[in-house]
Amino acid sequence: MNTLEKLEWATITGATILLFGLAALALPVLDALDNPDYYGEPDYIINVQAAQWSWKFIYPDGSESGELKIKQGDIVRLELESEDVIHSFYVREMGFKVDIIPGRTRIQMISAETPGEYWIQCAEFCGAYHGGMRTKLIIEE
Amino acid sequence: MGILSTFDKIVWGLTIIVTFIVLFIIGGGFILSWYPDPIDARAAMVKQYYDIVYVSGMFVSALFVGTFFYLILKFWDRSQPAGLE
Repeated sequence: MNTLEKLEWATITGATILLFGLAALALPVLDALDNPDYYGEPDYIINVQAAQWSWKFIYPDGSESGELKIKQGDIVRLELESEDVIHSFYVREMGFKVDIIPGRTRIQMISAETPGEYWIQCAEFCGAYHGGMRTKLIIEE
Repeated sequence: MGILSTFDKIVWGLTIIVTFIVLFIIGGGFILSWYPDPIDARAAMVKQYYDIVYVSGMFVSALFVGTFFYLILKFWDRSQPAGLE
């Protein structure tokens, strides 16, 4: 085997090992993301009503708000419903979108460790004012 | 004619253009793959996953392009006239 052939084999072996390494990094993440019990038991449930073109949040005590307020570290189960067309609940800093389909209740567990205000944006085109269908997620200390 | 033949000039010209395009795409990819700071552990994992997918995609693309040019250069018989001289 000459030097060139050795280099070729070294490249092929190195590339294969690197790809397996990347897959080994990615698979546990995928496994955790698919796990519905990742956060454990929720502290409380908030019902989310999406409609053209607003969000309504109904808290366990029956109060309603146009903004979603949760406490830092709380594990919250969101039950999302749509009153008309398909919407999508999107919080960019949380790294997920949930499509909300009329007639169905979608479940999404959330929890946040960093207090602050973040945008909740509808991420499924839902009509003329889709772009304005956004509100605040407020994480309180 | 100088040191470079017409064929050499074409090869060098294409090499510079292709290199520029590849660097442009990689740079654009880095800008487009920007993601805000995650606010919980799950979001951090999502971001980590996006980063892994981006790096893997770039690596596999480079492997394809690199293999293509390597095979061309390896089996290119330069003793044969290219018809452009």
